[in-house]
Amino acid sequence: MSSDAAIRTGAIPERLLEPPLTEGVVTPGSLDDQVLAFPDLRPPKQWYIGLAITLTALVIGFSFIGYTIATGIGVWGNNSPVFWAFDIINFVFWVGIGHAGTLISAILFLFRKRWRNAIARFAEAMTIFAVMCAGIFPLIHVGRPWLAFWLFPYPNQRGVWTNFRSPLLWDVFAVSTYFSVSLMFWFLGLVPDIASMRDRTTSKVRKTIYTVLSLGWRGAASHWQHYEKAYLLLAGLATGLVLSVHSVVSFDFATSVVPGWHMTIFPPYFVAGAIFAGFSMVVIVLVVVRETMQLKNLITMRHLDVMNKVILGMSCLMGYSYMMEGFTAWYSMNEYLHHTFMNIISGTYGWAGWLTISCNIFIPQLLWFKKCRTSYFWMIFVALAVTVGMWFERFVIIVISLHQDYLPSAWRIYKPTMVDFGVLLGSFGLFFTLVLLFARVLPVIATTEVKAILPGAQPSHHGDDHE
Amino acid sequence: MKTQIPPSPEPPVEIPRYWRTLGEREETPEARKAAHDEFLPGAVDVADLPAPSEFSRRGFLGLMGGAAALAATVACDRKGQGTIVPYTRRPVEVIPGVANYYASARQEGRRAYSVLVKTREGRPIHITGNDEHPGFKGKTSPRTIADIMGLYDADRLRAPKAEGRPLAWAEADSRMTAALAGAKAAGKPVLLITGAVASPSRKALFADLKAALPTLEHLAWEPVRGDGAAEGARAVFGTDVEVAPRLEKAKVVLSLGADFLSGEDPEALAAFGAKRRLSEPGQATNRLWVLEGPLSITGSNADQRFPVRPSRIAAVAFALAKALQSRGLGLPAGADLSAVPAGVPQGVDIPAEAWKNLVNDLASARREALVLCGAEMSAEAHQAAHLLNAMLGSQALELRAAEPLATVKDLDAAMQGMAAGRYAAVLLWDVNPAYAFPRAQAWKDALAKVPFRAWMGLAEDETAAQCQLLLPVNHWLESWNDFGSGELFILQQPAIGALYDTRQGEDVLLAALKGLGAAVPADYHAYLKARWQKEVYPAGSPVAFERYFEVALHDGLVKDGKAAPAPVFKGATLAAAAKQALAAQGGDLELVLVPGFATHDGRYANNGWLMETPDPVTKMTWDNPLLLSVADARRLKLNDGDLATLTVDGTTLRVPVVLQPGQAKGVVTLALGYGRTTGEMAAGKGVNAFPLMALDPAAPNLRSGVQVAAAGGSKPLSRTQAHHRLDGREIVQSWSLAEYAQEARDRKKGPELVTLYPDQEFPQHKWGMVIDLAACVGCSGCMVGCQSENNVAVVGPEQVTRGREMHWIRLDSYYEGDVDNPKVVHQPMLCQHCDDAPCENVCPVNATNHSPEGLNQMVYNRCVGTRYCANNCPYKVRRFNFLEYTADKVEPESLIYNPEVTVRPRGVMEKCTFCVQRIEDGKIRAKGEDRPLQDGEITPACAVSCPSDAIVFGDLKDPNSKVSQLVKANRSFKVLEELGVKPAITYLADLKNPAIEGGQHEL
Amino acid sequence: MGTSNRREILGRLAALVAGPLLLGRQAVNVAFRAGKETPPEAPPAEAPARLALTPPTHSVKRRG
Repeated sequence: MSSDAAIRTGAIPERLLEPPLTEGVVTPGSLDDQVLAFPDLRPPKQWYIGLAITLTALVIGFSFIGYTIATGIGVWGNNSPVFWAFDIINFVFWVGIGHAGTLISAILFLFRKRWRNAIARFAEAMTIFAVMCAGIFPLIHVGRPWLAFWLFPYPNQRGVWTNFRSPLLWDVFAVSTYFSVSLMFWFLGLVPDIASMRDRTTSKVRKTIYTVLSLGWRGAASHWQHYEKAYLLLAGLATGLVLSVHSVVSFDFATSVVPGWHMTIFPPYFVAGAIFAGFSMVVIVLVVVRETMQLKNLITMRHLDVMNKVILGMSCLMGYSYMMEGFTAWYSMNEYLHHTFMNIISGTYGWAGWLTISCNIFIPQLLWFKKCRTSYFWMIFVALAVTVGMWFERFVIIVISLHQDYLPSAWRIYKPTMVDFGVLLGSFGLFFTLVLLFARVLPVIATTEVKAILPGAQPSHHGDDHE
Repeated sequence: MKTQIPPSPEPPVEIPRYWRTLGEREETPEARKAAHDEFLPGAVDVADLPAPSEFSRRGFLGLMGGAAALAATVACDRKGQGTIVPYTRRPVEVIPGVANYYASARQEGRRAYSVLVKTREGRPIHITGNDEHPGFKGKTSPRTIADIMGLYDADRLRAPKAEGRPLAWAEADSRMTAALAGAKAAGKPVLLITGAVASPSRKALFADLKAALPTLEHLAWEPVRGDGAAEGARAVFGTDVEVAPRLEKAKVVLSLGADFLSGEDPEALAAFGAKRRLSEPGQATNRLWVLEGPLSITGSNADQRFPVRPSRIAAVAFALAKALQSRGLGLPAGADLSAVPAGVPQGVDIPAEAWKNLVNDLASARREALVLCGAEMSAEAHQAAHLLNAMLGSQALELRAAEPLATVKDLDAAMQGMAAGRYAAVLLWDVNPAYAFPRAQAWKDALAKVPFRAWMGLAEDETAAQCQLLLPVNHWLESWNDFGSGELFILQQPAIGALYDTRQGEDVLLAALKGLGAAVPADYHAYLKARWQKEVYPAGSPVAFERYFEVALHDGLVKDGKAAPAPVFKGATLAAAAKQALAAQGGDLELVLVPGFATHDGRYANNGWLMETPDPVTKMTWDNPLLLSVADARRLKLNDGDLATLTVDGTTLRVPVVLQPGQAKGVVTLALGYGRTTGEMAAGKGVNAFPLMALDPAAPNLRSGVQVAAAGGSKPLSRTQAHHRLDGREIVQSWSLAEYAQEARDRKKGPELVTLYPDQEFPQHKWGMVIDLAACVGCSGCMVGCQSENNVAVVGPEQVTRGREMHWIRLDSYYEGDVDNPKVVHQPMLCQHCDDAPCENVCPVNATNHSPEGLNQMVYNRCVGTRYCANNCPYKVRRFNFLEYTADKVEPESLIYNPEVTVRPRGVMEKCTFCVQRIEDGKIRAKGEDRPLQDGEITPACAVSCPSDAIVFGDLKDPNSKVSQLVKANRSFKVLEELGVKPAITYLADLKNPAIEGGQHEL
Repeated sequence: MGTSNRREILGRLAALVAGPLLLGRQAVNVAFRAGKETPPEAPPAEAPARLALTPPTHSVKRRG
């Protein structure tokens, strides 16, 4: 083969060369100046406006949460038979959003996808925040939240143990493990950057904080050696979790007897959906960050293009899953399952079914076009559609399946209340408040990792700068 | 420190042993004693010392310990903890923890129910039928079970009141006496309006009052008892009659709009259930024909039902009489049907084939056929029904002459008398004409013209607002009385002393009698006893009267054996009635006003249990929508929940609409008893339909020429079931007799269901239940019984609308076939106590689990409320406390709670327990008596409250138990068996015995 | 000097702790005494929180 020969001779054709991952002239020094300077700068006006909006949403949401805890789940629209509604929809939605970060930072790290380095930090932070948002819902959705700690298996004088057969308990383990591993992974990556910031900052307070957080990092070769090893190990650990968390969340549904929930396709289908939703959210936030923080040279259009390709791939997987749901309903000859599937495409909530299918399957097909993958308008349009669509997908799974199950006598329509919407708003408020705060106090780009992919950072016999 | 050892002298060296004092060395007795004592003389306990000027270590530690203990105790205090108040002097009757039972009785209209009242710590908490009663056999009506709530109604008037101020009884008595004596002296009439008089002693008291006060005019008024029935009976018998069906003797029953299976008559339900509970195809059963306008519970259980407009019912009945005449059944003397044309009357949609079958059935069953006519039907229809029974010579009914009831016409006359200033005084006792009289405003205006107006009742109502003197009376659970029903006297005795400063109504009258100078016993109890000694106590009985009366009270009844002669049928008025019946037309739309299932005539509108029990047909709670046939609704472009205006004779109401399959075209139905303006629970629930009633006593409940129009807007319906179609799901089985024969012969067995898990082990008992859908008529008695036994919360209409009712057992009804006349099946649905319960393995905290006796148990204390179990329950029988429904309950409402069942707080899941408290009670009882449990000894509340004995409970481990036998029956099936959850409840298929196809031809 | 300073601080600390404690105790005393010293002329409560239940007179119970 000519290309093999070309490699042997060292003359790699242009089309096989990986294009540079940054634009313009980026040196390690300029990178530090560009990224690590943010915390020392006074935030722009837009940042304050944004924070005001997200904090308002947060306060509204948490007042509604307080009202719920004081009064009872009855202030929501949940009823019999729709015992779960916005609470679990929001939970699954946020856990799903929280999938992109770890996937980008861990799985793509293991696959040596070097383009991930510029966006990994941000995506990971979003994971942590999304899982925090998700974590609120199991806690507040129980009838007696002050007893929610009973879900943890701890030795107690009552001699009552938790029920290990319950998927809800698996959830507790899956989500808390995922959260702690993601947090560790994220923090580990932050340590060298924080050390750089410690060395740069002039503010005494910041210096103290960064000193504590950098854990005595001096950049010694032994530090780097341990760091790389730990990072690799955690990446390996997190990789399994990316697949397991949403699989376990899907068991909440898949192991039940509710028609529309009881399906073997759920674990892979949920994982694909989670990556789908997570990547969309990352795209939305990335575009904003890239523009407002002048990071165009580090987060390039190529990053967004690759992200959009992943979204497109996941959209196709979702389409397959939806078709399989229909096929199972038909092929199983199970009248209950059939009825539930028909409810998705017709029935009272048929609009929600079609909204889901349109947003998740039809609209992302735009990303087949390079023009759409590299246009802010189109990618934001698709990402927003996917976010809405994925929220409604959980609505479809939970509410449509529950509202008409086995006995027609128990069927009922579900209507959310103001409080339901308020709590949903609050979760968005919390998420974006945390994103905004993160963008100001910590490096949004892993400078140490980006330095490793700067042109010339990886000496090779074929690189230009070897000459 | 204060403790000091007294100084001792120098020890002498030559003494080898140790000693402490000189006395000890010399071994004086004092010293020996001192040596034995722990402390030396002079040693003082610190605690006995006067307060130390400085803190001692001991004192400090003591106080610290105390403070720590106190802090720990205070910290352990739980919110909502009540105070336990022990009896300082325990009443002789009351043993804490042990239930007392009293046989008593209760009246509703003319009907008297013999009941057994369960009391705990002096509080009546549960009512069942009296098991000693030969007819009721331990069964009673849903409203009777629920009426315990009336005792604890927070709205009850607690002391006499006049002009808005509380008053002592002595003063109330003197005011009453003064008014009555004044009227007597002036010779002006005094009007007394009461409910139906079913008590011989009360009747005697009225007679005494009449003797002492000759100007007394008494009206016994029951607003929803059907004046048409009274008018019809008076026309053909010359007297009011009470019709008691004897269904055990009937092969063919024809209901002309009669809802005799509504649950009001437990004897009818028991007899009906017994006839339908077949164990083999081919066994004798009955056939129920129903011709009615609205779909009633009876209609939903019919073998053949035809929607017929109520205005045409009389014509149908006369046509049937004509047909029977042509089949050779003789007409009674004086009857003339020559004007009646043969065949199905015009405007009635009954196929000729069915008509022929109906006539055939009646003509061949003859004495074993029975025709019942609905109370709302016209007087002509009642005359025709009496004629039919007379022609058939029916044995299956008992006719008894009854005390006359006042009709709307009588009330109207009284009102005109009041307006004209005829009456000096009016006494209103347990009646509410200001609400239930059709012309309420005119009534109020007229009443205001009476100088003295006294009201006697439980809770202030619309009528009380018009009266000067308000006299609170005892609830029946606090009262004495007797009721006579033919050969049987039943006794009412108090199960609790009066809760408030109230008196029994009869005692108020006795006080008035005393004031008028009559010699009467001290109280009604004495009056009743005296009358019994004189009238009921058999002369020459070997038992002393006191003992006789005690035994009667213990049993709750006495068999008298004196049957009243049946009234004689006279046919003279029939020709005129037939002519009128043939001419009767309902116009475009006609309205039927029916008593509310929960409210009756409005008297139970403040009863939360009843208001929240769904109407067995419409499944509506707390409201009375206008029921339209589906065809009419389509024509008027109305849908479920749409608001409509209903106009009758210039009176317009705005009501939500419900489409009722099976309702006759051109008929709209509205329930009475709603739209009260007083009472915390009652006020503002639904609309008052009494203003739509006619003042014509022949058929006040039927109105023709009614207009219905869309009013725009809609109202969310507080309805517990909105989907009645099965869509081919095999959830409930309903077979014709032919299908039964086929199923019994070659029933397909489903595939063996396999499981990966080991089977549950049940070492001792395995509780199970069988529900016979053929016997179940859907009366909802089980729901009320369960609510009472298990402290099931009442959540209110708003929460029901949101789908959060708490009933542990519900009645599902499914329609099949033609929307204009569907087949209906009722199915009680409760926790199935599955062996492989899907709810159990999903609970993360093990709050629901399986007992070794096969119960799916719910541990409220452990429940955190994830609601996963409810999602995973295929039967959706789990109930969640979405809000705090119980904590705000204070006395008197909280007194109704059964102490053996936990009251559930918010955030907790709950569901049917198979009445585990009764199971345990039975087991403990058996163990205490050192004997094995007997079959049928343990009965959950639903089974006890089921008048037709459709629910059987027992031990499936015992192969001889009734439930084990029934599980093997050829009608048995399990709901959603294919899910492999192994429910512990087996249903027996519903049976229909249609005349045309699939039924028994030879009855 | 150190000792005297420390003493002063300790004294202030003691006052800081004891002050609220003593005041609290006084408050508790006041609260409890208030219950005992309800003026007799105060109007009686509208309805008793607990109803007096009496067994029925002359009734004959079935079992229990």
